[in-house]
Amino acid sequence: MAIISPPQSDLDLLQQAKTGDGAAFGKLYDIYIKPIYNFIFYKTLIKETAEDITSIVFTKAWQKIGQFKGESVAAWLYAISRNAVADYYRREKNNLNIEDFWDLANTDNFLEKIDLGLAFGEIKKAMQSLSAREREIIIMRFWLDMSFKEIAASLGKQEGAVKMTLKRSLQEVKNKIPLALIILGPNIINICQSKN
Amino acid sequence: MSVKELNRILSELYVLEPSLRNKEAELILLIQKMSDLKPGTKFDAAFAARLKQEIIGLESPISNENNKSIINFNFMDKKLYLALGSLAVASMAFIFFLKTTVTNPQMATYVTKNGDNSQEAVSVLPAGAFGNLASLNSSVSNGAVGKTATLGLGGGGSNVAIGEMATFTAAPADASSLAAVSPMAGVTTDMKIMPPYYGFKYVYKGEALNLEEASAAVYRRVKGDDATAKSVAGLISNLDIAGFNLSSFSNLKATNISLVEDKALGLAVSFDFNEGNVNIYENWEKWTYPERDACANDQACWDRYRLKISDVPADADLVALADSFLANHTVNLDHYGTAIVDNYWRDNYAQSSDKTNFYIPEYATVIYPLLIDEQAVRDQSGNYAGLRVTINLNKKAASGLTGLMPYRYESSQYNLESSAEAIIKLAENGGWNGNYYFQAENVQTIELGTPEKAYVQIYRYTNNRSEELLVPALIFPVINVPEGINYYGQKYVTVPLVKEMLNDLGAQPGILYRMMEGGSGVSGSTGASSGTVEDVPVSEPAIDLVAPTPASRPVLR
Repeated sequence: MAIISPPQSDLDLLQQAKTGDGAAFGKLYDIYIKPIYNFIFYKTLIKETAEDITSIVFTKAWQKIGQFKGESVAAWLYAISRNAVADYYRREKNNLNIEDFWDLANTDNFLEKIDLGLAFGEIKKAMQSLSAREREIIIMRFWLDMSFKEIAASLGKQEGAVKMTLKRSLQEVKNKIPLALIILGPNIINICQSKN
Repeated sequence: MSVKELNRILSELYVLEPSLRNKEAELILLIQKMSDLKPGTKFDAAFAARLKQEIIGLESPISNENNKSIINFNFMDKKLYLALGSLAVASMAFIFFLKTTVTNPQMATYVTKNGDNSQEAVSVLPAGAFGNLASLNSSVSNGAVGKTATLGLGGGGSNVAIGEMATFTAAPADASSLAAVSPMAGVTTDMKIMPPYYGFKYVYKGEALNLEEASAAVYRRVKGDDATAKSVAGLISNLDIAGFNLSSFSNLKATNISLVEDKALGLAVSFDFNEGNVNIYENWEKWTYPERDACANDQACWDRYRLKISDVPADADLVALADSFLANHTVNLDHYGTAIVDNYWRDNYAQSSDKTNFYIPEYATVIYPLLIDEQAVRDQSGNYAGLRVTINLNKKAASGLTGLMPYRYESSQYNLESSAEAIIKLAENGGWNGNYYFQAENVQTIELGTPEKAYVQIYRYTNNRSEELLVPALIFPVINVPEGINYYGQKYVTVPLVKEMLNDLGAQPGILYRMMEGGSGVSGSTGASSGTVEDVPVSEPAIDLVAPTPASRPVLR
């Protein structure tokens, strides 16, 4: 899913929006509404909640557009979204340090509103072994279908630097079978191969 | 998925988040499960279209942004909070998202604004749960100067006056010191020639009072949060500072912490965990005035930088600055009323004959009255109490905030006075604060209008801690402020409605002067009442105290 238009284009629109140009902001909105909503949905898993928080994110973005000083519109919007979700859970959970849905205990009534099938419990358990940032990246990659470049942009990472690191990393592993894959056993290897 | 592809994905993930490398096994399993189950997000295009319409329909943010640059408004945004680290987060959490865990077994019901038991709450306790409120007045009449000085904290000058009443001194011989005793202290220009000193008496001119309520709630603020205070202490207890650490101490809890913004026009944020409030001030080191400071001893130079009346923004602009400040600091105003600018000095400015030399205060205050039962809370002088935002008029920037605290109260019913006659008599005696302008000669009459009901914020000391109570009261407006007399600054007379508080209200100094007028015998020492005061009925005062002569009228310092 291509969610990030060329950075320069985003920045141009944003600079126009900073002058009060609602149409320019509207174009940015069109680009980002779905990815941002989806991002928030996978942090809340409740449609109504995701819509409420999405409303907050774009309203805040419009109201605070004059304060934008970064280099990536995507990183800015995802940061607002991340904070808005965390604010939501902290508010709802009496200021407990909950970043997203995946931090919730199984006894929380939020879970009653979720219907994602039997496998969901296993995913939740696995997700909870990761930090909020780690699972966010996993969700971006596998559920939001974001490319490496898009995820890097949303995290505010410099494209050149991460590309270089990735290249080096790929050269290191090449065709090496990940150690974990060996430990996990032949079933997993089969799964990997069957999906080839 | 081939091994090569898996390697690529894993490599990408490790570049994005190196910590994932340590969780490779869990990661591979998770990837497999996530590929099997990918929930749909139920994205609703109609919602997106509707939201776009709403947002683009909002006022353009640009006008606000321009204002900020024009007035050089400095604020800290959310990033600052993040940067302040976990300590600040814990502290902010204490203030803005305080957990409400009510443990009082006497609690009858538990209600909150939002219907949940999160941050804001009023707990209803049985009637009379705060004990005898008469002591609120006797602490004044017993001459406990140290304590009474803080009674009604935050309530303007006259609250301090109560405590200071016990230390009457001779009238100042020169006009400059008289200015210092005026409620309008600091406005000295017109006081070079001693004016005739008038005394005042109050006369009620309002409508007949209708006191139908037999009882009403008194509120007590729930302060502090030990859990948070201990949590904050825990955060710093492992630090080794200058070779010293706290490992030898036990059961630590923080009482207050301060954080400053280390930048030009930076702010200082102070958290008081005992009182349960947060205050913001200028980080004074960062608010500099190099041009003015370079004046050294050159008075003419200093005068050039004195504020002129034209430098003071209109009230609407001051409120806008305060609004913006609060919005940027995400202060919730749900429990506060419409902003009011404290223009205490403008009356004197209007009366001043030498406006050029009139000292214009360098700070303005915008008050957002605290609301309880939909009524604005007042102090004992009748002035609005609540959130106070300070505006630095030199910098044209909001630079401080006091009175911010979680909205958590307990309430308890108390019997109210039903006799209009008794209430009016107390009002004519100066009410809560007494009539410290009374004297036998040169007396002017001040008329009081129809009162309004309000809650008045008062303080009570028990076990070395102060309790903050909100008690129902009547606020009588002064309707004919005497002209040309700078030292009279009272705009209201306040009278509590709680019956048991009225019984010894008559023992306060101001009322003693009033009694003098009626010819009561007096002997003893001023300000330190005898043990008989608690038994004094309002209608039949019989206290033996020295009558202050005109030369020993009260002086506020």
